[in-house]
Amino acid sequence: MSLRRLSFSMTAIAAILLLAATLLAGHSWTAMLLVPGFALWAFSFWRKLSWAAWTGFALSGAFSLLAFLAVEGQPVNFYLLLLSVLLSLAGYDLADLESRLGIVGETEAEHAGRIRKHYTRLGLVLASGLLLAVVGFNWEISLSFGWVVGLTLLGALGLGYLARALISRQG
Amino acid sequence: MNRALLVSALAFAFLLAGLASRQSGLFLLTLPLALYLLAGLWKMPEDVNLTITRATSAWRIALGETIQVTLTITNNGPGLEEVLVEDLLPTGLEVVEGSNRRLFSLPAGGMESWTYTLTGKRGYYMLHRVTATARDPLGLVSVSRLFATDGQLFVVPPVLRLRRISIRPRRTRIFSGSIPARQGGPGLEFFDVRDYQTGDSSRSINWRLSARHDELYSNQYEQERVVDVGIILDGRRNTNEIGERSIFEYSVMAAAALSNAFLSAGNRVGMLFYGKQIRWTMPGYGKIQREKILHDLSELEPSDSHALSELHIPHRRFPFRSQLVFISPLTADDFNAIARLRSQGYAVLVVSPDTVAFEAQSESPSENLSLALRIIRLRRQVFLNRLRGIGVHVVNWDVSQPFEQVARRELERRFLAQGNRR
Repeated sequence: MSLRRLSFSMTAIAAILLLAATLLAGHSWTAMLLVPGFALWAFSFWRKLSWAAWTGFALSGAFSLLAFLAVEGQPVNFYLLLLSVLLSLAGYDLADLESRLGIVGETEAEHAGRIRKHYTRLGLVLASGLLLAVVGFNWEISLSFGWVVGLTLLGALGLGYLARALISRQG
Repeated sequence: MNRALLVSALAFAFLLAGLASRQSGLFLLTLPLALYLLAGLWKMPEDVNLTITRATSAWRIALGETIQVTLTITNNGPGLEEVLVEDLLPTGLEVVEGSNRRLFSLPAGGMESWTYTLTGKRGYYMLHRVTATARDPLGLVSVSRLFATDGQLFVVPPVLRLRRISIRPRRTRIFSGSIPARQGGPGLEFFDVRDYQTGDSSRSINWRLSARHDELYSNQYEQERVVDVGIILDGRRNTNEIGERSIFEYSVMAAAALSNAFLSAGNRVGMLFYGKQIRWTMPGYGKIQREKILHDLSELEPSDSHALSELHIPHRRFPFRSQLVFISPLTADDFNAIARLRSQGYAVLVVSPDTVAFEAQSESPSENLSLALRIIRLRRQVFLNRLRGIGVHVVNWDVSQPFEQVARRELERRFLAQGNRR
């Protein structure tokens, strides 16, 4: 399967999982917004618009957030949302890889080794993320609000450092 | 969109929303995103320290030919997981085989090399910039650097081979050549008869005349010498550009063919380009001069300029009574300027790519168009006849026909030489 198809399939599955999660939780408004949003993404992807790749990922993230914060209905299924975020991240990553290889103008077959290596790396990162999130979700521990705030601040600092390190090296 | 920024922003959004709503699921959604960013940071390129060299199979090609460019990249810094190297090509050059971009991994001290094939429009090109963009394996961070390399390319106009072009300016140089010099001496063509002088070859005696006058007479032949030829190439935009199209390439092709033909015959040839600025190729002889002219021709483009009447030709460069070849599509206002050159004693040959025929090629036929074309053709014909009337030899070149064919018909005939005697 070509990178483009794989990227499309992953983001589409992420959208379907998100839709299923919102419908199962009875978040009808979120589901109603989700359908045109991803239809727009699918159209832009089909037309090969430059913003298609990041739109799919951003939509997936935004709707996951919305599904969690929605007050109507039941709590949303965490596993469905986690899978949705992981798949949309994978779709975004593969779309970017495809565009990077496309610049060179060579066929994907000429980069088979590079692509295989990339699949392995991405698979490892996503599998580790999935494992950590599932373990964390099932680890029953009660923390006081102070601890939660402390850990959040620590996480935010770590993330800030990561983001700064990555963004400052661009150029 | 910066990917690292977008993923970080979403991770922050999950974290803050998790804190606000106190939902552990939102905190946990941050984990895969944070891990992804961490993986990007892990093999982030530290520095792009490369040595890039370019080798080309030629530095000068004729229009339509190709060259092979080989880029060799050596990594002097730490290993690079993914590096995209792009040879930045100036506008006008085109890759016909291979690619000017390459994506590869380069370990520390490693070397990579590849070859691609280029062609281009007529022109002078500097090939001196190569960019290298290194990325981490997930493509989150990119570090770009611009490298300077050596390289240049001349794409010169094609040189059409013309046979001997008959010109006959009044002024010749002292060296023997192929242009009749209006002086008796060694040569091929009969010129005059004179009294026999001791030392004359018996083969040169005119026996019929000697028998009639009881004295010996010798035949004299016309000396053949080299001449000064000045080529004036018209680079005025208003004469060369018709709408979106330009006839200038044809003028350049004619200039290349004529200068080559004159130089091959041993003449001294110089060139003057009349565009926004006046550009000289100093007169000279031989193959080096041919290269100079071709290089200069490769760089010329039409531009806005003043009327031709303001053109002043220093006679040190193009001496009076020498041959001038004026290559121009011509406008009616040019008559006085050309007449002035004739009055200064120059033998003038005008090669004029026919703008009317050129423009007609791009129009769809209609009755109005054919009438308009007829009127314009008549006007042009009258103008060219006026030029012929003052002793200018005019070659009206319909550019749909090959220049060699037109030149053979119009420039290689003997009567051209007679025509310029006036």
